[in-house]
Amino acid sequence: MSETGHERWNDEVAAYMLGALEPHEVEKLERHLERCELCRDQMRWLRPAVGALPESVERLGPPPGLRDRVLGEAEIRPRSSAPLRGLRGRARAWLGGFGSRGRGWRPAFAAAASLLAVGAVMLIAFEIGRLSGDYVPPTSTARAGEAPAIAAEVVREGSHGTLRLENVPPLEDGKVLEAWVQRGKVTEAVPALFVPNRERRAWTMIEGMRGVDAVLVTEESRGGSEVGTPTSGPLVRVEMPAEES
Amino acid sequence: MTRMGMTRERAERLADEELMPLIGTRDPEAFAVFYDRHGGAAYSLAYRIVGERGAAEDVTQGAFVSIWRSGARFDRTRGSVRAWTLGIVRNRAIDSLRSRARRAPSLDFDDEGILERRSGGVPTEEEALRHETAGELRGALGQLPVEQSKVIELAYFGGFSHAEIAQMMGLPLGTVKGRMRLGLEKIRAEMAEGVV
Repeated sequence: MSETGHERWNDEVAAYMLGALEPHEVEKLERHLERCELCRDQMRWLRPAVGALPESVERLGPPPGLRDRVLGEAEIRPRSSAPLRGLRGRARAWLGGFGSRGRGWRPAFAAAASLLAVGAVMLIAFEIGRLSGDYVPPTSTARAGEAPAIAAEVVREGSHGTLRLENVPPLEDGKVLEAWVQRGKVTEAVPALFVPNRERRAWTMIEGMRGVDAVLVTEESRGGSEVGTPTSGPLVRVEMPAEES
Repeated sequence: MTRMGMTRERAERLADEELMPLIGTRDPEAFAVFYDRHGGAAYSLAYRIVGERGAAEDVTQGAFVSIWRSGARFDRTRGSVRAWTLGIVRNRAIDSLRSRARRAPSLDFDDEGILERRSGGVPTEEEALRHETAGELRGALGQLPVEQSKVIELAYFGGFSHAEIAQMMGLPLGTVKGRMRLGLEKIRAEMAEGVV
């Protein structure tokens, strides 16, 4: 290829590195890069220049609460598949009605269900979700006696999902939010621990959304529920519509 | 998977590239050190792009959480950990910007608004050294001919494609891409000479 020809490709490489190419151009350039050492060299040469761009930004001190929220995710206890299977059984028992251990969050859940029955459920459509092709109508459940209700939405994107909450009341010291997914009568930790920000908003990602009937959020001690099941009533329950086959 | 072992002091002595495998094994101390090193830059970049504190926090949190959840799949052949991290932040911020706008940029789009958007927060002392470097880099960007710095900033911080920039500025597509290349090459050349 002539030098002039490569000058054109070099223009493409620069635009590519700035994220400014259209998808079909990206595809074309990446095919070219596979076989062109000159362009790969050009990309390696320019990489530090692109890497310098974010460093040129005026530096801000991040909000202190942000660190807590980010590191809250690192408090997640690893859960192997075997304990998860065990959890399923416990979850079934836990959700299976009023057993001998009738304490815990079931009364709260019943109260929440009552609220649903009297129409205390608020459906809040977030603008971003409403405009999204994968928008899932949110359902929020208020705690008895508390207002305004927590607004919730889950946007399902393929096998993943994003859970967003608004109007989350301040948590007690040492408490975090924990997300759960429900498939049939089985409730499993996502696992996802998170806390609201100053604007009382909170969100987390949910992996493995296949077959999920509902997403729940409970308030748990820092580190998450020790028993693998919710230890308090759900602050939020979002019913998921049937997946399209 | 482990949550034991690594102390804060020990984690702080490790290079970014050494922290990554530990984050991959879900080491909370390694992750905390990683956040403390790059969280400020990540938030600043996110704020620079989305222009709103709440959204910038969401972007930053999302980027770090995705790194944690994905097991820090860092590829050292593609640059430094910091550049890789800020690349993730940049992509998420652009996605956030686009999802909030939900529309193609119009011809009357105020690109000066993007170029002039500046922070209102307080820089931290602990980042003074990087701040100084950043100031030099801003100088390098500022020394570019305005037609070059403008297309670079619109692409990198505004998330606009070269076609959108060409439309906004009334320029041929090739001119926009050419200015991008010339601008990046100039920054790179100055870095190589130790000006930046």
